[in-house]
Amino acid sequence: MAKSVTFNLLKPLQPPKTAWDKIYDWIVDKARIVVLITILLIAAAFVAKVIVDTDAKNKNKQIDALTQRLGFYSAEVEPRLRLLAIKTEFYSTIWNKSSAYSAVIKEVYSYVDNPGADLTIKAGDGKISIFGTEDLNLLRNLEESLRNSPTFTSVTFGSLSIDGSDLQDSKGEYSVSAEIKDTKRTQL
Amino acid sequence: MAENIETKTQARQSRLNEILNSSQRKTYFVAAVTIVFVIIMLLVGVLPSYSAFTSQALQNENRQRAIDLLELKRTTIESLIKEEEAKKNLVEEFNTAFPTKVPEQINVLTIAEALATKNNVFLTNSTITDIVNTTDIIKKFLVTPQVQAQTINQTLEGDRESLTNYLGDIESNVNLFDVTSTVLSRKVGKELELSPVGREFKLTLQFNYFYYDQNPT
Repeated sequence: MAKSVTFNLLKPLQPPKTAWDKIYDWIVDKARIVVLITILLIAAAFVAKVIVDTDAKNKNKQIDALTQRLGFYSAEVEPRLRLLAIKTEFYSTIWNKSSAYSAVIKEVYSYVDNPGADLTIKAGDGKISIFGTEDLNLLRNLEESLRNSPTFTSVTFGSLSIDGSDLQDSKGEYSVSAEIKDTKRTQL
Repeated sequence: MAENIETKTQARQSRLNEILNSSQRKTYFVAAVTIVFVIIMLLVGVLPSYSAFTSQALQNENRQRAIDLLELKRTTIESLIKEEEAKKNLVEEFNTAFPTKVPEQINVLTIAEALATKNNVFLTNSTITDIVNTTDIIKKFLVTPQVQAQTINQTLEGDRESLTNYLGDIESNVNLFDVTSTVLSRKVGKELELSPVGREFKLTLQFNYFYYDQNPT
């Protein structure tokens, strides 16, 4: 029996697909979501890159403007202010570490009743020396007061010599020395 | 007839199995190609874009840090300029008290005379030595060699309290005076007899007057 052949003109036969056709079909069919997502990601990255590039450009302009403005100050104003700051710091340091002896001398005199007492007070290097010829009772008081004072430490009697005439007046030549605990003046 | 139908059914079944098997292999192939495609797109497209974006963002962070620091410096300098302008007198007084060059000897003398008059004491002698061992100053105050000093020796006469007050004024003077040695004594013998009233005591004083030399030798 002869085989019958039919032609459907509404559905024409397509030529066999080439490799490129297959790739095209695959991209627009199976991989389209992946391609779309990838394109979106690249587009987003591109937009972000444009944004950060613009931002970088603006920041560079800002840096240039600030550098130019600071350059105006750097010649004269900044060195002057820096010098002032350094000097202020040193001033404070020197002030706080400088010595003061007037309060100590006043304290020593406060232990001496007789305003005409023959006293010589020498102060320096954190030490004080008192010497002269004076009434023995006064010396006793002075020694006791210095020993009890919180201002002084290591109070020592260097010498005490009494000759004949002084003995009658109950007087003696003496020297007392002590270390001053704190010679610093009022801190800034 | 029935046998013929069964044979056809078996053939169709076999053909269907063949088609299905073939379709399953195709699906695996498409999935593998899709994954490879995704990886290639990531490596070639997304990652470089992301890398470029993050790298620029990082550079911008550094730029912003630089801007912040520059801005801080600008505001600090401008506020200091304003403060300096507002406290002009104080700055001038400070620069006089702690000068940036060797002070004129007359300045110290003027200050001492003024304090002596204020305290009713008599400045009988005053000498100024320009050369002071800077090493000692650096050691005591832990400062740089730019900080230098003059040494001033003075002798004054007056009553005990006035001389002590003078010493106190020197110690608390706005100029940087560091008292290194002081001797307060009552005159004795002929010196006392010849001394006018109110000048029975003698103060010998040594102190350093500091200044800041920007270019020390």
